[in-house]
Amino acid sequence: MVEIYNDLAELKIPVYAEGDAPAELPDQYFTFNEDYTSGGVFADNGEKTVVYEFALKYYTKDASTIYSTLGAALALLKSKGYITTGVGYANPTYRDTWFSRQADVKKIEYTGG
Amino acid sequence: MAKKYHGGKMGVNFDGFLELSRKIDEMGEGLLKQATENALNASKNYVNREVEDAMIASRFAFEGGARSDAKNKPASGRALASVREVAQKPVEWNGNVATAYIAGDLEKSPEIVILTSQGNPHIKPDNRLKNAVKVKGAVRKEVNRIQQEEFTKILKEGMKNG
Repeated sequence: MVEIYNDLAELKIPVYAEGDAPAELPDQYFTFNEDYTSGGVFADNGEKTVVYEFALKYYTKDASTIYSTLGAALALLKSKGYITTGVGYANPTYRDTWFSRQADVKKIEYTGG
Repeated sequence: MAKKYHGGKMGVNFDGFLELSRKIDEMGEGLLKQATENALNASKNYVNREVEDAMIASRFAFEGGARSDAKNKPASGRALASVREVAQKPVEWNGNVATAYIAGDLEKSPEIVILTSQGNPHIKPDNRLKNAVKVKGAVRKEVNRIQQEEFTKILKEGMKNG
């Protein structure tokens, strides 16, 4: 089971599903969206792996943390078996208050089905 | 002078692209350019159709009427019109580089990305539209299949003609 909330918990920064963040937002937080999920490897009429594709976004009022915190999140996710590439890319500032940067991450789950 | 285009573009990229390109290039002059143009035309037509279908099906009501996220702001249809306009643009060549245009002109329809395909902490993105605009997920898989098919067609024709 892929649980990106728990997998980012060590950073002690709130994580919300994109679109479901509370009205009052903290100084920094992550959002994620599950963009696409599909079968990866098939054999013997069964699905052996499932590929989850997420968009992870980091929002902060402190622009100086934008690269380092997203980088830390990507490193943490990589250590937990996620596929991450690069240093992310730009995301629009939210409500002229939170600077933001995003990255695409994938997780392959072995179902053995 | 032509007005600058601020929108989506796509190229050719699929598993085995380099190998197929090499074989086609060896078969004759102009064939690789033809394969590239066919692949880009077929795949951009598919992506632009997907974007348009996703917008029509979207909860953001691009065809008109009030948007669920912005009451009292009826959609003007400008974004959908931009997607349809861009879909008519032919594949362009600049030297050896070919470009196909997809998903509307962001200068005319920034709401495609800002409101829907990107999402934000309080608006969930429309995943179908996001994957179509960004050529990701199932749309990426189909684009790869279409482009590979077009290259294979040219390769087969070239082999038949000898």
